Amino acid sequence: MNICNKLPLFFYNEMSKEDGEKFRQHLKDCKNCQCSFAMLDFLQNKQEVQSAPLNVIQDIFNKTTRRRFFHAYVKTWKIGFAVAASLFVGFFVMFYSDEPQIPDTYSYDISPISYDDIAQIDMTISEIEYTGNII
Amino acid sequence: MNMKQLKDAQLVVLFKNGDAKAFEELVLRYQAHIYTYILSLTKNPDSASDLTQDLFIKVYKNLSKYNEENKLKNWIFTLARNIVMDHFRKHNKRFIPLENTAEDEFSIINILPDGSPKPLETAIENYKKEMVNSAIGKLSQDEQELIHLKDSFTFQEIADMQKKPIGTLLSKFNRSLKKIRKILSETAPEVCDEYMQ
Repeated sequence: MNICNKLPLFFYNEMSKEDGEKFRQHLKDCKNCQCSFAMLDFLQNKQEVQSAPLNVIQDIFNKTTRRRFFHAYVKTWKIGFAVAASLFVGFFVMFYSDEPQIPDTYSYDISPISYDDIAQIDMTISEIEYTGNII
Repeated sequence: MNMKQLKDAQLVVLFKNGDAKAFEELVLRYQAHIYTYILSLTKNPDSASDLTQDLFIKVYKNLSKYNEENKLKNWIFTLARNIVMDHFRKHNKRFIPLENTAEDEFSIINILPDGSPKPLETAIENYKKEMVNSAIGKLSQDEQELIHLKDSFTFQEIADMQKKPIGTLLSKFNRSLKKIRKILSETAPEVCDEYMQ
């Protein structure tokens, strides 16, 4: 490899000590390398590393380490509180409410009818069946 | 524990043990170099932002499988390069436009930060940076990539990463330097004169 080609290695201190010393000697005499060295030095100071926009970094965190799943939104104490409240309401309803009301549709009327009344009705029905006349 | 003092491999171990802060430290450590590198390839700040985000999400998903013996930095940059290439493939874009957009043009308003203590010096310095970046922007894609990778890697690391002989990289680097010098002497001779002083 042409020794001038090794200039970047010398500039960035990526040469062995021995090679570096040799190149330093070469640099004293080589106008081309001196010029390139100056250029590299200039470039290094002028080049900019740009930071990514803040919202990009924030989005990265939000989508990785700070990502919140559904269960993370509902904190444990909230779940505990909800369960306790449900139990309390359930027990309150069970013990302190009135007797359960049976809907009318399911009830049947038990009239206070006497045996005499029933006998009277039976007689009437028998009579109708026998005579065919409705009284 | 101060995460900033830890090496990459130590951060990876912490991350594998469930420490999310270790990953955040890695993001903060590499975001600027990665963003600049991707921006140098895409030339589009919006795409660079999106791709930087995609990259770190990919790193997060795959970090648990990462082999600590390899160098994390190499791995992240290789992933970044693949993501950019996929992006170009998707958008059917093979070449990056070399012309600067209107936004790149020199503007005293754009380069003068508010409340700057020495506005004129800052403006001149920013102008020079702008000119240098513009000259770098006129190099071929490979040359630009090499220049930007050099910010973060040694030549040997780049050679290992790209599986190229180090001599080839050095030749390309020297060629790029000569091109930059030529471009600067044509577009901004006053900037070019400065380094010769």
